[in-house]
Amino acid sequence: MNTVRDPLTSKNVRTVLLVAGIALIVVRIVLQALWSVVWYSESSNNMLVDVLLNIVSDLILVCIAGTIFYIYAERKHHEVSYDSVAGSVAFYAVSALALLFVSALVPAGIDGGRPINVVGVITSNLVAIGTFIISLVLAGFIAHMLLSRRHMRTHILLYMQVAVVIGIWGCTIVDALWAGFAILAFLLSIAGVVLMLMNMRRLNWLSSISFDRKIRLLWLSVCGAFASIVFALTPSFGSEDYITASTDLFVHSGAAVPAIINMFGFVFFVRLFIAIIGSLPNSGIVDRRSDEVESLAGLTRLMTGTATVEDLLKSVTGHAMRVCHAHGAWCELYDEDGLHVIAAQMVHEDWVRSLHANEALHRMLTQSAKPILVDSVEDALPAYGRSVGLQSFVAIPLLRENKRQKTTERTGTLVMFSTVEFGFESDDMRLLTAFGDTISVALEQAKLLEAALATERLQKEVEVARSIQSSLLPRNAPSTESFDIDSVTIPAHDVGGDYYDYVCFSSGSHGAIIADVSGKGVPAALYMATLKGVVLAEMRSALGPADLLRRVNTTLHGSMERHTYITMACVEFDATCRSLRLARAGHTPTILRRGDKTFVITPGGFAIGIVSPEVFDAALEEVVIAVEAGDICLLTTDGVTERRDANLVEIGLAPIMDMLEALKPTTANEVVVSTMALLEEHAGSEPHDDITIVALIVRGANA
Amino acid sequence: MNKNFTVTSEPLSNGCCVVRLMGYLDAHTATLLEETMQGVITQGCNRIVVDFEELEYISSAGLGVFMVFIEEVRADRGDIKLAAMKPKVFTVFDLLGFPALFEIHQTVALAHAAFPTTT
Repeated sequence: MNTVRDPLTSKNVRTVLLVAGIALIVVRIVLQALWSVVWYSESSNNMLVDVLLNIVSDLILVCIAGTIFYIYAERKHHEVSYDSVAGSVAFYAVSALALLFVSALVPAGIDGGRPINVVGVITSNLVAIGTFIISLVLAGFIAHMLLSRRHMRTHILLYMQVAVVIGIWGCTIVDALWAGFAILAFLLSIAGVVLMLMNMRRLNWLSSISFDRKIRLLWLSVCGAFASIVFALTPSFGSEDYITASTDLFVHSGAAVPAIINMFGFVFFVRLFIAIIGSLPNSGIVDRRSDEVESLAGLTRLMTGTATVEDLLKSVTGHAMRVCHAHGAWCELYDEDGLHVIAAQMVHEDWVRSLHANEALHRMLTQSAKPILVDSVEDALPAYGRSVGLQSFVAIPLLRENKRQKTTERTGTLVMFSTVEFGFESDDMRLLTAFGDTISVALEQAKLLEAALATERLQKEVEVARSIQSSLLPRNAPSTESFDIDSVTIPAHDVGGDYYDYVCFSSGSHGAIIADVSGKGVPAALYMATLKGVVLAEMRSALGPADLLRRVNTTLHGSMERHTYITMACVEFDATCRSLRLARAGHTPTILRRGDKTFVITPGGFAIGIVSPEVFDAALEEVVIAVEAGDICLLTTDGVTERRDANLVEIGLAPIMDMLEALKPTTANEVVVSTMALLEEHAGSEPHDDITIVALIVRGANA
Repeated sequence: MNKNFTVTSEPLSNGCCVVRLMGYLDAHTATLLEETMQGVITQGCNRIVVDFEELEYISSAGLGVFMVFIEEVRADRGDIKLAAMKPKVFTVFDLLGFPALFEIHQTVALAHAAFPTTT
């Protein structure tokens, strides 16, 4: 069996055998018709003709056996599956029963051991050949089944089986000589049955087929058993039976072979029947297992391929429904907004919500920490009534593990229901719990993904704001030989609310503004951009700091959000008069060093955007201070003076003023650097609020 | 100094409410104040006294909250009066010019008394 056959050669052999067999059958029928009917006479009973006919019969049988052998030999590895077994059994059962039926119907054409006419010759030959074909196919099928076990002893057992068949056959031939042969045949038959049962001990392939197929196979095996027992018993019906008479006439010595083969066939079918019956109770489990494997594989596919959580949950509940044969299903999720019904299958969301109106049912669905199975809603909730479709259900809690707090949080419920009572088995709960876990994981992942996307969006937004902000800050300081100016701004977070710029007034003198927009992030950055636009537009026509602040307030007042305002301070250095002009719109005070003394200058003024232009203009003051070379003006934001140390103590103005008094700088940059150093000394380098410093130092002739 | 921020509200007589601020009011905690103020106003109280006694710090964002509601309550002939500020907190208000916008009183009782009696 291990040699690999060339399929082409094997096909040729088969064709030759088939053609030869058909030719021989025709030859035999013609010969028999001539000798037994046409030229028949009582006297001319020719022994030679009988021998010749028998030889032709034997050759026909060889052709049939050979063809069947080649058909089975072509099936590689003796694979046994439902399809091959069911096909073979069905073929056997149908053809065997058809033959029995036909042979019972055709008029008997044999009388006294010879055909009475040409019709009798033909029918007897065909019935006999049919019997042999069916029997040999059955033999081939059984051999194929037995070999499929691929056990070491399988071949030996099969050869023994064949030997037993030949033995019984031999006994039946020589039966007439000695009565002991009949007993021997009987004993051999029993041995054959035992061998058969040993050979068929394991029918593993049965366990892996579905319930429906088992039932179909069960019926087939009953048909097979019926057909085979009828064939096996035909010899005992005596020569009246057409099949027995035909086979006997066809090949006298081999007439017993089909009966013997069918006897073992009967044993085979009965054994198969018992095996199927035995494996039926397991079918549910087998079916469930295969469904489970299928749906778990499906789940994995879904997890990777589904676009939205909703779609995913729909598919998962759909799968779960099919596996546990539920009539409907839904997922409900709980959050701050209450109950959400998603992925409802076969029911409407509103219907599900209406169920929650029943207090007891609501508690069952939402509060049980473990999966629950309600076999009968009517028994469990007598007040509920039968009118609604829900008769039994399984509720699986969906849980989310909070790893940080090591607690589990109830996020929702997966519900499967049936419109009949006792629609679920306890085994369903186990499987559905697995589905519930999958849904929980999917929901968790979706949530994480959403959070990640939100963070990414926020990150982008921050980047946009930062680039807006940095593009707003001036690149070059407008320092001249009469003054030097320098600035720094350090946002506490990615985007601050601080802003500074250098300006040039209508008189041609230079100055600087410092501003702090209440709020942070993109809105603050946009306000800064607006502010810069307004400042740029107004400074060329502004007469001085106070005038610029007035113009800014007039322009921005009314167009700003109610809770937003801008504090701002503006300084102008008048090189010809050698004076500083200062105005403040709600901004933190300005520090000035004049000679050896430092002052805090706080001219009156509202923050921009909180009052009407009339009120703003009336309150706004401008201070003019004569300065000399070496004098310093320091503009800061509240992040500087409110800078706190580890004990949350604010640095305040005093240390900064002390530092300025001690400093003998020649550039504005020195002032900025020293101030930053002082802040770091106070509280480390990580600012909690935005820090902006603009320093202006007077230089010139009298320095 | 307490870096946490808490805000409570309770009704006073004469159709007034007091909103008590405690701790540290900055951009992060301003939302909490905004929600509380909104709640008080939604419940129909537009005569509000804000008690600053326990407030340690206020940032620009915290000041902005009062700007949000002042026009609304004044349109309903109510007011927001501020009371019992620590000097540091007052300085912040003062620098911005807020004393011209809001009445600022020494104590909650004085602020409460400053509301005209309802007829």
